[in-house]
Amino acid sequence: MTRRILVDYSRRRAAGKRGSGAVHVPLDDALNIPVHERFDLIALDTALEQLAGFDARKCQVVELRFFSGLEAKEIALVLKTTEATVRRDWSIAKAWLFRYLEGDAQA
Amino acid sequence: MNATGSPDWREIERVMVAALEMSEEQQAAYLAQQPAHVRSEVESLLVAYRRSGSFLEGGALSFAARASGLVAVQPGTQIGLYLVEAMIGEGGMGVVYRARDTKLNRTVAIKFLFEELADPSARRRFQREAQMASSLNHPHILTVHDV
Repeated sequence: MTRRILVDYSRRRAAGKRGSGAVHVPLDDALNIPVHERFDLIALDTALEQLAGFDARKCQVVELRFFSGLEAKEIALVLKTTEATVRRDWSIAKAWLFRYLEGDAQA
Repeated sequence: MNATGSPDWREIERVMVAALEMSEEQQAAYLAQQPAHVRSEVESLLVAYRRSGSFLEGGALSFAARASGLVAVQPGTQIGLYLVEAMIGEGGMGVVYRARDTKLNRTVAIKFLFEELADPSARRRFQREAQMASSLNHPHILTVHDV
């Protein structure tokens, strides 16, 4: 859910469709927009879909920690597993996603 | 190289888990005993793991902020009456900055939310997420009072 909202936002922003509303005008002036960034949320979303294709639980761990901000203990509760498993899943998912995105950035 | 859906994924995972607990010296000896395709995959993942640093550690909002410049407000930025001093916190929905009200000379907190939160379809998705979260019913998972 949070993942969808953030990814959709990035897509729309990348497509150049901006939201409207007076409140955004002063903020836009204040934003410091870096032009290039090695990783972005759209690429991360694609990488997560790949990961979910062969290891759904690691994808869920990343979603709950990265997008929903839960702690390992809370994730273990939600996924009905142990905290140690969540930590291992996180480490491996992080390595796998980093490698995937790094390969993407070089391509 | 990315081994998506590799039938050996469980084996790669098992070896990776064991290797993560070891020193680099122990890792080399341990990996030397593994079949070549498992060894090369785990070595590649270990390199990525060591290089990954704080990747993903900051949570989605700061990631999005860095990637799109969405909420990367620099200290010293003036927004209307307010002079932004520092970021003091971040959550799943926004970033909070400490700022100074230059007219009344007092410290204020400014919270930046995603503009998505104001969009009706996003709000419906948030409501579904809120219902899911409240159905989990655990003290450390947010309790939703109002949407």
